[in-house]
Amino acid sequence: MKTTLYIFLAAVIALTGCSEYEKEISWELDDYPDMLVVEGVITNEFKQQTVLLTKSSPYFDTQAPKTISGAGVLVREGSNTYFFTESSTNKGLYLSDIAFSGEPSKTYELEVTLQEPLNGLRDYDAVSKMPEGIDLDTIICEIYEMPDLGFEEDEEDKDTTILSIMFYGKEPDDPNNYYTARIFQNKTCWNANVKEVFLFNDDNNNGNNYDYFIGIENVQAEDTIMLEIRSVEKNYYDYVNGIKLIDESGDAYSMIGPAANAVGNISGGKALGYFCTAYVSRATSFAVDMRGKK
Amino acid sequence: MKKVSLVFLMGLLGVLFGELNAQRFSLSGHVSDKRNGESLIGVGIFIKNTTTGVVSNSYGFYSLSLNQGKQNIVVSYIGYELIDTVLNFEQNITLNFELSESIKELKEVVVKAERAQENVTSTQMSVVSLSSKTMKQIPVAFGEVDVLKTLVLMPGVKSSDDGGSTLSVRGGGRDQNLIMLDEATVYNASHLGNLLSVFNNDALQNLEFFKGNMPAQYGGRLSSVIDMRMRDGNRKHYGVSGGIGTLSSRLTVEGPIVKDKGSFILSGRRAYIDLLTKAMHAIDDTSPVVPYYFFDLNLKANYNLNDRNKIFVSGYLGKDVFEMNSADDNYETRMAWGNYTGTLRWNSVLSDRTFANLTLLISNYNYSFGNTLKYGEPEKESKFDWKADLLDYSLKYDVDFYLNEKHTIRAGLVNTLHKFNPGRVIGHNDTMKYNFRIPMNRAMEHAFYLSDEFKVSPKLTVEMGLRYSLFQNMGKTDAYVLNREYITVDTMSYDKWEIFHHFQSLEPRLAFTYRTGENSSVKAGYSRTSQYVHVASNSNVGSIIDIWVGSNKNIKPQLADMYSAGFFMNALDNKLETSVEVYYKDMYNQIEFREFATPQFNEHMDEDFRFGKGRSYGIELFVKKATGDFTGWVSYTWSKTEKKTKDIQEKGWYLSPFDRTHDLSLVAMYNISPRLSVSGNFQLKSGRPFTSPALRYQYGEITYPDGNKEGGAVIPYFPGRNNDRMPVYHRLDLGLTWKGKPGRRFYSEVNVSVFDVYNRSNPMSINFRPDEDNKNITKAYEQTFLGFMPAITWNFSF
Repeated sequence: MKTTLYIFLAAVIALTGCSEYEKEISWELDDYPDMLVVEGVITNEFKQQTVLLTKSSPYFDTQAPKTISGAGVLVREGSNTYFFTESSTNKGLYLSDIAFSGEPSKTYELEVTLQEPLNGLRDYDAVSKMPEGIDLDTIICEIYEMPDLGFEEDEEDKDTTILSIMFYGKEPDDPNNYYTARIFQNKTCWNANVKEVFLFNDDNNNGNNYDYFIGIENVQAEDTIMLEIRSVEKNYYDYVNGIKLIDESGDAYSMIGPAANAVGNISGGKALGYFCTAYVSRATSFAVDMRGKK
Repeated sequence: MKKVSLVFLMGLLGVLFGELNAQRFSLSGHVSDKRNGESLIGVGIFIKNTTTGVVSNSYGFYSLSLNQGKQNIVVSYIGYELIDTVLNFEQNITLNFELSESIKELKEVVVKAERAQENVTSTQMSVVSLSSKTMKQIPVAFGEVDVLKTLVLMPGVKSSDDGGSTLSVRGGGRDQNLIMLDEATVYNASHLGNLLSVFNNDALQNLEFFKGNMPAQYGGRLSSVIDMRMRDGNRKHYGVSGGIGTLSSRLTVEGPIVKDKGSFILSGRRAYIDLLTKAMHAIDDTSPVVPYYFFDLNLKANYNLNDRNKIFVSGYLGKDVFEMNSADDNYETRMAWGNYTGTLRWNSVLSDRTFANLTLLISNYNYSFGNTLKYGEPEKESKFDWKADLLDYSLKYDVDFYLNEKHTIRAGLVNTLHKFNPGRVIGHNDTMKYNFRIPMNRAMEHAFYLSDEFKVSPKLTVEMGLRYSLFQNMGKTDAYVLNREYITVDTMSYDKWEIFHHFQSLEPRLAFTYRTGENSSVKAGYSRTSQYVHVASNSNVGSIIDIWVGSNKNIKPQLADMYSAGFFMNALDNKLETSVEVYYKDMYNQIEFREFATPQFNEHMDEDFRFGKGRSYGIELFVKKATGDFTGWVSYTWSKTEKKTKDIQEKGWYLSPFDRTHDLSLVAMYNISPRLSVSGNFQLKSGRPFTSPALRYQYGEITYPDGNKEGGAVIPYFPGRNNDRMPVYHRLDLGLTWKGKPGRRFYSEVNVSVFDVYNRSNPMSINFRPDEDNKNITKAYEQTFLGFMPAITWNFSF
């Protein structure tokens, strides 16, 4: 939809000789106090779970994010308390002292206490309840010819193939399940950037065994394809969706309105980032070239 | 509010009954253009050297009450020869006036000195009247004469973007303007992704624009009324006129059906972007083909059944089409959107003092979007089609009653059936089918109004009006019940035509004019307006995919109270019109959308709506010179428009996207010789507000088994809605018109215009994002859309 709108606008611009172009400008922004950034995930995998603490920076800063050391981090679930300790090799990354696996339907509460307050706040908390998830059984990966859409592209960048992934697995009977998906091609993630993560839900397909279709390009026969699906809370799904949409918002012709924040769940938005739970499932297969096959 | 309205109504009726016994003679009839027989709107008919007079209505009808004996009557209209005649009133007189266009306004001083000084004397303030002739002279983008863009040059009117035809009037939203063509609502008034309006100037006769203090006969929108009347067509002889422009061409055919009894006009316009680019592609195959065009068709016919009855039929059809196929036909996409309207009117002069009009209207906006992708062996198909539309049927009855020289009563009622079809998507690929529909719904909108223009004394005129409106939701539909978090918790189903919810509103309108001198007056007014249909789009610019929705349990009607006052003065023998107006407007149930919402795509669209308050205030200065070789105007507005929506910003007011503190427009037209004229307009205004980030952070890293990390995205943090402002906007456009020799059967003229003469290239938006090679370096980028652009148009008529 959006692509077509852009093609349309680009076409109008080309035709009318309007000088649509973009240039870098220098722009002054408001000062704003730094905020804590939390990236915590509890999954159903048996491992040392992680919480990463960093700090925001002024928008035009040129440095990598600053990590936050010396914080007290713990996660409570019922009567269990899991303490986290900062990694000696990765500053700002806090690992649970013992390995454990999160369980669906259980509620996890994060508590973070900073050594020095940030933006006047020292204590932060967040809650996430792990949802039920899909248990992947198999995936089928087929390569097809990419139709020539007639758009002008550099020959080098031109996609010639499209990959169809069908996956089979039991989707929970209860409705309102939300998923993120990443695809790994020969151990490299095809959509590592969180802005490229696939999002889908079971609105149209609750409780069914299979029936999803994902297309990615430039895959070779015999490539190893791994699909990772994470079942997440709706709020987290909305958060990731927000991250994906930020770049598209704010533009004069944007249909999704003014630029806005992706709102996380740390102390009611007083810190940035998210503490989430995820039910993770993975399945692997080889890509099969279907071109020319009847 | 109800008490105030009741007092209003009783006062109005009391005044009326008190005056009913007064007996005088009447002078009534129609005013038309001698050359082509078309009705003239807004012509002043008055007793010489007095303030007693009327203005011809939208159909050229007038009625004036006079005392017995000889009376000196003056009929005056700008650009036309004055009629000055003495009539002896021993009985009611019916007299149709035919005015001749003045070749050159030599008698300008005389004419102006004797005209009724409508801008000073009328109770109306905040009103702009424009003829298609004036609009034609103002240079605009692509050389395309554009009525909506001309309005942007008036005080109190803002446009959201460069060259755009989206209007914000006194801080109102872009859906708060009632845009009517021959009384039929035009829901989407833009072509070409909002660059041009859908109104073909060749088919327009007149425009009246109310930016506040709406008379009681208008309602249904909060901020403004743009009332456009199509030309009737030449009643005397057949004619053809047209023009060939850079972007589109036009052709108009008109003539009498029966000479002096009826006429028709058929006017068409088509943009040929598709044909031009195809031709260019044939010469140079690297040149892109743009498969896009739009067209408009206007048709109108009228016929005098007898001296007292006249019927009109008019219609508009316009569409934008963009369709594209891939080289191997495996991919095709098509977008089309457009409006159609139809109007059937029956004017009748019920008595010398009573004019009535019965109108039947139809109005539609529709869009569709679809694409088909074929792939794989054996061939698979992925396809979807999406359609949405809005259809209105209306019945209106309006009566103008010229009771005596002190009272002009207007009353009427309107009933509209709205049919909203917000969207239906049907599609499939090889593994699944989908078919979803945002529930269709119907609503009835009724209104009744009564107003009295009361000349209390030679100095004081009061216009009191009251409008009652009622909006009823009807089945068959599914209505969603939302919880406090705006999530659908239940669905209620209603049968066809079942009325399941309603809203009503009493809307008092009050206006005073007090003449402070021969050429000056003070005016003040209050108006309440309500709006039951709203555009469901999160874009401020206006988009192709604009769905309109009716109020319902989840979407309350928008309301506004506006207070305004002004001082009006004509100087230099009425050659110069000046005014200062101040206004304050409170707006309630103002619609915002959930962040990142695309309601057009949401099956549960109501969930995306959020509501808040708005307020706008400002001061508007206007100086206009309407006659002579040098004409033009200067308009300046200082204003502030803010919104408060708890769900968008926890605390406090934030700027509306249409807020521009300073807004200055200069428009000048000069006749160098009878055949050569130049024109120019200059705009200087504060940049519009936008949202910029203050902080950034990283989120979303993945760690591979070998410890490598990837994928953390740089995410901006925005401290508040519209916390920043775009750079100052300024632009100069120039035009030159070279006319053919007058008096010949075949007339032609060439118009050359230059948009953005000094190539300011005002930025459309400013974006912030990380560098592609190093995400730790974040930058700001500005996007420009339009810059220096010359255009040429050749117009002809015979």
